[in-house]
Amino acid sequence: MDGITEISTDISTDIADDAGGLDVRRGAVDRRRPPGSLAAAGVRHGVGPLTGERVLPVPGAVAPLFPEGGLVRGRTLACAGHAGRSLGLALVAPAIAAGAWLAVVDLDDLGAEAMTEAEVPLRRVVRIGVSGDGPDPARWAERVGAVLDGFEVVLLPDRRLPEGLWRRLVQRVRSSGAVVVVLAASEPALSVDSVLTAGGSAWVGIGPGAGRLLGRRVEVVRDGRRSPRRLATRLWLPHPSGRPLAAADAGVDTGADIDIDVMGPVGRWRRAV
Amino acid sequence: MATSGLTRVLTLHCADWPIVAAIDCGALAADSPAFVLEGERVVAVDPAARSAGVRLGQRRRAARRAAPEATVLTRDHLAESRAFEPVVQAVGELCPRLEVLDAGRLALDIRGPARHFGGETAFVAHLGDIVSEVTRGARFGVGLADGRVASAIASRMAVRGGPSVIVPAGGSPTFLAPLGLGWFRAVGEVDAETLDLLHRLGIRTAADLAALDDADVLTRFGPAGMRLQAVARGDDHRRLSTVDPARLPEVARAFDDPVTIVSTVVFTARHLAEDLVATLASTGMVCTRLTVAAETEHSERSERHWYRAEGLSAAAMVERVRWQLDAWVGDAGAVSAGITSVALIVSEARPDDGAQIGLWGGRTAADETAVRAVARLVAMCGEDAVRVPVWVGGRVPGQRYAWTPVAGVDLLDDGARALGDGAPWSGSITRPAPATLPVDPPSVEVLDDEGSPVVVTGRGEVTAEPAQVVTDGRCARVVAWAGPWPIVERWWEQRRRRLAHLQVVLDDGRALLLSVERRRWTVVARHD
Repeated sequence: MDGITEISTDISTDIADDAGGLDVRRGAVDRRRPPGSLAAAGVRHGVGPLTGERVLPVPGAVAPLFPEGGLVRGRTLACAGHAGRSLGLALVAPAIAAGAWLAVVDLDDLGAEAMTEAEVPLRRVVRIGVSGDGPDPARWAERVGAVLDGFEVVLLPDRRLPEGLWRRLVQRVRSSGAVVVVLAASEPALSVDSVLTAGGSAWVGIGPGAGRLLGRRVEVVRDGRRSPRRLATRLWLPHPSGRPLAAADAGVDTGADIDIDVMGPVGRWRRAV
Repeated sequence: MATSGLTRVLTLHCADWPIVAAIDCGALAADSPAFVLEGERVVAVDPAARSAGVRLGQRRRAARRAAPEATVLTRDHLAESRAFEPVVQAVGELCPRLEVLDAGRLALDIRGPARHFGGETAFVAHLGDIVSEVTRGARFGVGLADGRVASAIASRMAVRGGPSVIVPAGGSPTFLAPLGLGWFRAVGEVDAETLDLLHRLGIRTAADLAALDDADVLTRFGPAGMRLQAVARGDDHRRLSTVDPARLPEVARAFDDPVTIVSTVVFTARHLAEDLVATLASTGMVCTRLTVAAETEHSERSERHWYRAEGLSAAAMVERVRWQLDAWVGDAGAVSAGITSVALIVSEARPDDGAQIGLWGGRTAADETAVRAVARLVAMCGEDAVRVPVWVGGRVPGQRYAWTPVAGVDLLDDGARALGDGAPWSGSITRPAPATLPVDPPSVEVLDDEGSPVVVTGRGEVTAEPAQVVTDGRCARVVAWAGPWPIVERWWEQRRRRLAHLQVVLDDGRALLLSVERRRWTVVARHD
């Protein structure tokens, strides 16, 4: 771990991590870390992946939103807006791919196919219905606590919860070192460290009666207690080439991935009369 | 006796047991083309479907294409073990020292019985007669060789080539040497990944592997590779296990009130299995042979041995307890009272030699933690509350994955889990997949510019351009739409469904997948 702290000091981050020390932007880690230290951390060999890492990796395209370098362990985050769920899945995918397990709590309508497309390996995904026998908040919190003990990344639905229960749960998140991502429709009811809102979406590939949904441009804004200033970036979510996430400047016409055939037979499905 | 000091093992292998079991329990008519799927792969084919081109290991889609008229069945382990019970009993009368490897496969130590029947050949012939009588014409093979692995391979060959393959004592190394390593995969001695790696390195037969330097094999493939090499040399070392059987752990639970429901006993067995696996793991061992014993209030007893070369995880143990008890309880006259005790006894273990440790593509600390948490959550929230995805395929987004209770799944056994390849079906709605699939799709109204409802004609066209979508009394303008994509499901059946899908982008930023069936529109998915 010496290697990590050593490098992190020379990266200027906008936000100092209050728990001491600075975290490393993921992209920078891979390039700058001395050879061998990543292997020593067990990432390549899969022995206790990500153990010792204070941040879980996020996709490179969202780096502008994460001066901390990724998802900081023990923190809570919400993804909201019209593309909030897709954003949430794309954010956690690299961590799951690196060996962490994902718990999907009380989100029975979250699509498994969307997870694979977001590059979340399904072999480490478990769905848990914790409020199957009633919405009792205390029992809910207790069971979510049990989830936190075993999973490094936890997706929660947004819900109303008595202040005290949530505070205790947040305490537990901190001690377990898990990352909690709340998938909310709009401004989350649960009080979280930061909120990412994916809005202003514009789809490409589809027209009036033509084509099909292919790619979506969104603007993602980060706000919240742990974000002293508002951070924003524009993204493809997904990119028309099929990649789940890309920076806004990854254009459609520069890549050879897309040609007009993929856009669909224009007008073929027009009305009969 | 074998000069190598290895046990003479006889293996019985019934071909396509899932098909035989399906006919046995009435799910399938004999001689009609059929195949059985586990996840997305074909695991058994009957001769009619085989002549149409369906092959083991094929994907569902390809098999469907090859034999569209064939009956497709989903694998039912319970029915299989139930159908195998008469075979186990019949063979058990000849030789009580038998191990059920799986439904359709069993192994015996034949030293005693062979002497009694006047030699191995005579015993094998007699056994063949008995089995063909009980299975009423199912195809099977009997293999006899030194060591389990050679015997298992011989039995598979016997299915193809004749009623039995007998490898003379001491002949196992010669027998194995020319064989492709795929045979070892078939009997569970090597995982697909390692096999693939060996192939790419040009190591294709047992002789190739046997000829390599031990130290090289250990460095490159780890202890698991070394074990495979030993087996390939005909040195089936598990017989030489130095573990003192007396020191192997066992766990038992007695019930104060006799239990008459199998699943209650199975539930108890889960805790026992977890204890057992934890005890073994603490000494670095993995159970390869488990003895399950149960007793009723009237002292009726069921005891059976289960073997699995890869080692038995807690989930695998529980599965076997379920198979055994279900077969026992289902056997008329065998059980006349409630079950009073159940015991799990490790009758064979080997060092957990790294076959499943990270470096060689296996489990990590995170995996172990998650598996423990899952067990705890199942206890807290119930069996049905904790689920994992399995690929089932289909044209409509919500149907391509099903969530199955974790209880019947070995979380860390990737080979046994069907997770899909993500390849789209023909006629399916392709990427991007919607993130939300409402459990109970809400109804919506789709209106044209004048406010009249839009419907899809029998020719798969919309009657008017959709202009507005009304959800919960809230009206949004349609800014873009695509489709309709008509789907006729189960066209070969009476209860077929005709429906069509439409993608719409609304002016409030939402993108929805709508479905219309009998003029009723619902939101089947949201791209959010």
